[in-house]
Amino acid sequence: MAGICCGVVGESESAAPVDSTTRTSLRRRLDLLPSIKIVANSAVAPPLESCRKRQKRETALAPGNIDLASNVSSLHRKVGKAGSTVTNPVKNSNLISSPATEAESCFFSDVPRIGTTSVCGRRRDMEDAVSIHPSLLQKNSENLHFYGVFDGHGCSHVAEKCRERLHEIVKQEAEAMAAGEWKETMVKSFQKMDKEVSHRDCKAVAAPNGASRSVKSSCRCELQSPQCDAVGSTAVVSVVTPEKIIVSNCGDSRAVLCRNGVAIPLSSDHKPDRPDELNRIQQAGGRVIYWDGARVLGVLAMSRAIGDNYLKPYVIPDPEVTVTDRTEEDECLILASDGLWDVVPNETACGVARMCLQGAAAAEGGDDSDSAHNACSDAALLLTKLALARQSSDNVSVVVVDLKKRRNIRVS
Amino acid sequence: MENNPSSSNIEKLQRDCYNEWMRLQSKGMTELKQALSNGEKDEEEIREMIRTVIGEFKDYAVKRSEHCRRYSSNSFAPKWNTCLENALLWMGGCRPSSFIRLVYALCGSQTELRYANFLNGNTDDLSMAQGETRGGIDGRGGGEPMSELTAEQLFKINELHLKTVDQENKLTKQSASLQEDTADVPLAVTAFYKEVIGECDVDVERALDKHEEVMGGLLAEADKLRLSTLTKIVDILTPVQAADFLLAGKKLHLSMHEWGRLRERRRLEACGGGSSGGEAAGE
Repeated sequence: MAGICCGVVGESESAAPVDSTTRTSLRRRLDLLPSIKIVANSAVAPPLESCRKRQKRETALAPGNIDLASNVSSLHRKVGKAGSTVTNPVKNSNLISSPATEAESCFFSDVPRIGTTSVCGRRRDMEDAVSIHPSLLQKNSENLHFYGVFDGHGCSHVAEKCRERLHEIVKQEAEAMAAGEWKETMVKSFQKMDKEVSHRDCKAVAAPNGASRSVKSSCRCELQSPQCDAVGSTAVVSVVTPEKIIVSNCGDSRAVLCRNGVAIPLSSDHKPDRPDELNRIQQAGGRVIYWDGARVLGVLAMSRAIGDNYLKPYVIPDPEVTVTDRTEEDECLILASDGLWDVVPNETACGVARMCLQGAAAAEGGDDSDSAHNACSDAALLLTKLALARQSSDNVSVVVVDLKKRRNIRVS
Repeated sequence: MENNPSSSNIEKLQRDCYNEWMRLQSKGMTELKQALSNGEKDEEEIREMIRTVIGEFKDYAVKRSEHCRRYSSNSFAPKWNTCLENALLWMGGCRPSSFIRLVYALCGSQTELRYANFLNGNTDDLSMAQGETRGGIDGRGGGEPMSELTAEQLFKINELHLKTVDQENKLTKQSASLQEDTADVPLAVTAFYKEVIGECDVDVERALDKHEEVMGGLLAEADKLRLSTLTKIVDILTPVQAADFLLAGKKLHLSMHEWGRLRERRRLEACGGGSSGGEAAGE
């Protein structure tokens, strides 16, 4: 819906805005790092814990839970599946605060620290979904993590389906992948995802109790078959390996890397007025009409998405994939829906996330994984609040991944 | 209404009920403000105050519901409200989801305030903020309690938001059906076949009585949802946050009333035709 409702004015500049005032003031503020503990303080593990437990129970019932609960349930699923990696997902999900032993932390050398917040915000429908799968798979003895943010439009079910399935598809494809063929793998995964979604649209109408059981009950369009075609979702997905960050994007959600205080966008928003996208749409025979911003056929305010059958071939599910080598200077990765990016520039987001991470590190005296984890939660939380503060009118979903490599760990 | 003593009585009861509610809103506002401005806040006192405020709202809803058992229509657009308020009314009051909007507005503005203070290197604010006990009681001086909304709180608020919107939508649908019913048998058809406009008969009376009764029921349901949403929000928030939130709610209600009156006066003074006065003032 974001794409349908939100104007695109200013969107293109927010992709790489260099706001000098913000920058200098940020830099100034970053000197005050220890003091930001207050902000970082705002999320602590224990409350989350009880909260998560409750989510787990209610996942099946409460439609609103899905986004956050999904992370939890998926983490729990992992716990159940692989006994030996218990500490890994558990630690990520903020459930346990006992520090890993030396041996353990060596063993789980690449355990990422993650924070995520996802709220309905000023909208009346929740169409965002978040998917977090640390240690999704092992490839060449490397631990691969999966993070995704999906921002649905028309209804929530395509975003939900992406949350449920995309990581599994990526896992499958990645397992079969020849070394380093990430681009092809991600493109194939997105195409598969799109097929499943299109398939589901037809099936769900025929058998609403069967195929679509997993779709939350509040899915508005469930019984309105013609509308099902007009549903889609953005997808920004990141696979993080010990050496690389692979970002695959389709739509106007965004991934931004914070490297040594500099915000580096790892994806480029698919807006209908992006010159190359405009060109592609026109070549395909489509038109971009300015109707409350640039829209494909005057309807959709993004040029690529999963789903949206009725806008094919103008709107395509093919992602743009970037592969970035990780460096020692990488601080964190932020994935978010346009509920954040519409109102918070990349630089500000990085500054805030960095401030939380460094603040926590300074306050805790270094490498405590839990404080770092909380810092990620704090960063996601603070970014969400900032989006609310700046009148974001959309759902806001934020994932913050700490990329700092810990001292005692050698990356294989 | 002057000609109908029984209706006038009910009208008076309803009006008194409203006036009493507004008096309590005003009183509650003063007390909450007072309690929040104390440097040393008594958490128990604040808790007690919150209980009172919620209790008052509950009493008001119950009383209102009693008064509109037979005549509920005017509760949907009461004469004592300003036009502005009535135009924004949802089932005789505010939308329950607007409570959540208020939480977000407060959280957002207070977060932005803090953030701005960081950017300005305002160490005063920082030191004060650092001295705060989270979820506890802090000096109002540095207190932006809503900016301290935790991840758990935000999650719960979000959860509540989705449920509330859902329930709101259900009630709205019921109300829509009810509104459509008036254009159907028996009212519309009776109206069509009557020679004399406004001539009543038993069927019409019965239908309208029924209509008001069902609307009264809807109003009660809406009040129930408002009350439960309010209670749940207050439970999610810390006492200081809850007090801040309730204060904001009361101030908003009282302000809307006054702003509505101001605009009403302007409208009466404004000449027809051209631009109506006060358009620039916004809402």
